[in-house]
Amino acid sequence: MSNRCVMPALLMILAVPVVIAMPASTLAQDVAEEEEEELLDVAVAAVQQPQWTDAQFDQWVFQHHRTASAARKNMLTQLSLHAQDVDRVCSLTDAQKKKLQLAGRGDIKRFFDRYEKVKRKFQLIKNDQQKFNQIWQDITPLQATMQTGLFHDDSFLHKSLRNTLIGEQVTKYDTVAQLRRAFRHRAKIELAVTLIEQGMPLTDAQRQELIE
Amino acid sequence: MRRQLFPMFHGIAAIGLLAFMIAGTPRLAIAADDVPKAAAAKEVQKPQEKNARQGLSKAKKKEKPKAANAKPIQKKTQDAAKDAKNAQKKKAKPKAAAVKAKPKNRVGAAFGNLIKGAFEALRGGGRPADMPDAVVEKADKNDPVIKQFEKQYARQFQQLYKTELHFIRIVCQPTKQQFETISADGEKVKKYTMRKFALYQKRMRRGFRAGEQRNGPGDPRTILAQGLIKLVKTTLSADQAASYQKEIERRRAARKRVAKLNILAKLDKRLVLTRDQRGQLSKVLDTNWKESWNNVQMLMYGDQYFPTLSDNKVLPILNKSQKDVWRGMTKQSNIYFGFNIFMVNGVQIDDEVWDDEQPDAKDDDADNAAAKVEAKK
Repeated sequence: MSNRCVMPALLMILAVPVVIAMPASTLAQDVAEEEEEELLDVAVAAVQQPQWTDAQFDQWVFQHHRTASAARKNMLTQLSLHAQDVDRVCSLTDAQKKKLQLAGRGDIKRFFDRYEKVKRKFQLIKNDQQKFNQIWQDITPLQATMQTGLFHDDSFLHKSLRNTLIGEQVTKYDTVAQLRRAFRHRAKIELAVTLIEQGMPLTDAQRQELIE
Repeated sequence: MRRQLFPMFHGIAAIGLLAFMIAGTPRLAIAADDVPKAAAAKEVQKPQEKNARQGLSKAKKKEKPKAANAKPIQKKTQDAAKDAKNAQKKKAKPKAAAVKAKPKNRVGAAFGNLIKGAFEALRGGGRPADMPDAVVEKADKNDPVIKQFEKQYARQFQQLYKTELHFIRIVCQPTKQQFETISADGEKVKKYTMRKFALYQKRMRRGFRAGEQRNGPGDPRTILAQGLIKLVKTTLSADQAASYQKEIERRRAARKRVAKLNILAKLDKRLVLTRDQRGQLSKVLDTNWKESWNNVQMLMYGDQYFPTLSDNKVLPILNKSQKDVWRGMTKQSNIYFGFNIFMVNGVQIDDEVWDDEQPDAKDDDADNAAAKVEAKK
C-alpha cells in the first residue's frame, strides 16, 4: 500500500467514532437549548403579561366605589334619595312608592347586566394583550354611567313617573324638577362663561350679557 | 475499482473531519448561540429592572384606566409626588449635612420666610402664606427646573399678559404713552407670576414639606392682575385705577359665584337637595369660603371632587339618607389640577393698534369695495 492509501484510511478511522458519537451529543445539546428557550419564553411572558384581575376590572368600572357591592349600595341610596324627593313633593301612596322603587331597581339591574356582559368578555381576553385594549370600548360607557348617575331623564325611574303620578302630583313635581333643572343649567352657563374668560377677560357688563 | 473508491474515501474522510471539528467545538457553538439568548435574558430583566427602579410598574398599569377616565392631572400629581418622595430620600443625606454646616442660616431663613408669609397673609394679598414675594423674587434664575418651566410656558404667560393689558386698555382708556409705560413695567409682574408657578412646579418635583401649600399657587390671571393694579395706580388717574380695581373685584366675585353654584349643583346631584337645603348650603359655603375652591378645573373634572366642608356645618342641614351619602363622599382639600394657563393656549392676541397707527389706505379701499359688494348683494 502506498502513502496515498494510508492517509485517507487513517482519517477515516479517526472520523468514524466521531461521526457515530456526534448525533447523540448534538441531540442532548438541542434538548437543553430548547428547554432553556422554553424557560425564557415563560419568563418573558410572565413579565410582559399584565395579569389583570377581576378586582382590577371592578375598580376600573366602579372607580372610587371600587367594588360592585359598594357601587350597588350607593345606587340604592341614590334611588332612595330620589324616591324620597318625589315623596316629599307629591306625598306618594305606598303603591306609588313601590312602583318607583321597582322602576329604580330596574335601572340598577340594567346597569349590572351591562357590567356582567362586559366582565364576561374581560375574563375571556384578560390574558391576551392584543385583544385586551378592545375591552376599553366597553368599559368607558360603564364609567360614564357611573359618573353621570343612573337616574337621569332616560331612566326607568323618570319615565315611570309620568305613569305613576296623578293629578296635582304631576304639577307639583314638574315645578320642583323645573327649578332644579334651571339651577343646574345656570351653574353650567356661568361655568361656560368663566371658561371663555380664562382666555380673554370680560368686563362685568359683558359677563352679565353673555350669561343672560 | 481502487481509483473509483479513493475519491469516495477522501469525501467520507473530509465529512468526518468536518464533523469532528463541529463536535469538538461545542462551547464555541453555544457561545455564539448565546448572543440572542443573552439579549432575550436582558429583555426579561429590562422590564423587571425598570419596574423595580421606578416602583411604579403595577401601579402604573393599574392607573392606566384611571388616566383614561379623564383624570390625567391627578395622576401626574401622584406620579410627581412619588418621584419627589424618591428624590427626597436620595437627597436626605446631603441635606442633613448642609443643615449641620449652616444651621443658623437655614433656621433663620425659614423663620424669616414664615414671618414674611404671615405678613403677606395679613396684608390680604391673596397669596399663599408659604410663598411670599421675597421667596419668589430671590428664586435662583439659573435653577434648571425654573429655567425649563419659564422656557416651556413663556408663550402662554405672554398671551395671558397681553390679554390683561388689553383689558386694562378697555376699562381704563389710557393714552398710548400711559399704556406703554404700564406695558413696559408690567414685564416684571409677568416674570414674577411665571416664577411663582415655576417655584411651585419645583416644589411638586422635590416633594412638599410641612406647611407648604399643596393645592397650587392660585389663578395666574388673578396674580397678574394683583401686580398690574399697582402699576395702574401709579401710572393712571385715581378714577381710572378705581375702574380697573372694581372690575377685578367683580371678576373675583363672579369667579366665586360660579364656583359656589357649581359645587352646589354637584352636591345637589349627589344628595338630591330641596330648594331650602340648597339655600342653606349656599350660606355655609359663603361663610366658610376658601380661595382654593375657585378652581375651575375641579368643577370640570367629574362629580367626585368636593371641597372639604366641616361636617358640623353641613350635617344639620341634611336628612338621614343624605347624611349617609355625605359621610361616604370623599372631600379633597389638597388637590392640584394644574394651573389654568392651558386655557389661554388657543387665543392669538395681536399687538395693540392705536389711532395714530391707521391701517394702509389700500386696505381701507379694499374694505370699502368689499362693503359695497356686500351691500349690492
